[in-house]
Amino acid sequence: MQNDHTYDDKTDEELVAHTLSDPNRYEYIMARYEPKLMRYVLRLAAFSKEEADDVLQETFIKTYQNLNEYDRSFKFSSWIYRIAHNEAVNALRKMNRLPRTIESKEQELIMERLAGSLDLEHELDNKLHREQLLKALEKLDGKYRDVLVLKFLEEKSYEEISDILKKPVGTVGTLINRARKQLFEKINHE
Amino acid sequence: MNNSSIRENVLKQIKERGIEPTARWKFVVKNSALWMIAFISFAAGMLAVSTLIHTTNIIDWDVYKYLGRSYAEHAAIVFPYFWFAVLAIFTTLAYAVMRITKTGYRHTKLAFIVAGMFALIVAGSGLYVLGTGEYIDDTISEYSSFYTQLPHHKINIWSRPEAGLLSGTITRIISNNEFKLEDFSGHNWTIEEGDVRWRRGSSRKIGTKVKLIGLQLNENIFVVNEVRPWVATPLPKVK
Repeated sequence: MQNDHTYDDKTDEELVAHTLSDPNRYEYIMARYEPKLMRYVLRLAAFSKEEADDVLQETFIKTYQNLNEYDRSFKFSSWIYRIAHNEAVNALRKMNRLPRTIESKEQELIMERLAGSLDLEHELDNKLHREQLLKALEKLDGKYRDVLVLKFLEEKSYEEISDILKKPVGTVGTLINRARKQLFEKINHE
Repeated sequence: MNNSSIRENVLKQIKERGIEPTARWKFVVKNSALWMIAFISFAAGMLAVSTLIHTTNIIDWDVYKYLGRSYAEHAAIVFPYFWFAVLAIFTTLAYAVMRITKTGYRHTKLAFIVAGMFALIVAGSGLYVLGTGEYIDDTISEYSSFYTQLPHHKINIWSRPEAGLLSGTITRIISNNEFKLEDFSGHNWTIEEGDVRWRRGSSRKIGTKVKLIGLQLNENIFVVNEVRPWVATPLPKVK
């Protein structure tokens, strides 16, 4: 099964249908999403590798249990990201821990993409501005970090973020704009 | 645990614990139940709006002077808060349930409030015109003494003979200027007519329910100055 590429070209929705008739096909869904979700979960919070494994395992079990609830009018990826997000938040709550600040490597990535969206590339060539933006990102509120991770690291659309975080599209837009605004304010404060 | 061991472990757990996808019908039932609760709550909200309009409309705003109140004080006391509370409870429930349906989160709170208010006002007004509000008010009044004792209720307002406000059913015509009236607590009164103003819609017939403004002479005799019909139907009913 590991080397069976028959399912590589199948859409997520087709894989769900196959899994419902043959549970062994679930491995193909997991193989497709494991790296993406592992990266996402690690970006969301300060999990150790073992903790992230547990979150992912629970995510896959919950997804499997609820496969019949999956509605084809949604993107499967948004649906499974939502489950992963909820599992990560639940795990953090159980561990009584706050989400971490984003690793500096990822801050750089967010910064570059954010800078592109803000039309600030030319300004960010200036090292001083880059450092200011990095510091500002570290101080950003958790709710803003969630949308920034989804928008600028996972590169999800507003609609997808809306479905993952269960917030209206307009609210997602507002959160992203506020995150940008808060970044500007923090930069100007520095 | 490496990447593939997560998958292996999940598949192992699925087999060992006998985990199966929850049956689709269970999700269908859950979702249908949510929509049903939301619909019923919204319908209850519409009925509350129609009854709120009716009860507000039949309040005798001008009797404040007999009750020793200012107009503003009277208005603040007799506003049908009960129906406003019923409306608030059911619309909040409808909103909360709709938010947890599959796509409920896609709409903003403002959109819910504006669309909900609009629908409630339109549908509630329609039901009021059809007489639903009056029917609900009358039916609950018939079976609940708690309801008739609420400050907005006309039985409560018009059962204060000491303040000059009395109501009930005409049970006997004694003479041209005297009749018998049984109030809503079952007490019998002799009503003496002085210079009486009979408001439009009120009639001096046995079995007719009326509201009286006047003066209580003793425990059994009330001198009336003004007679109003018990039932006021400000809007024509749709047949």
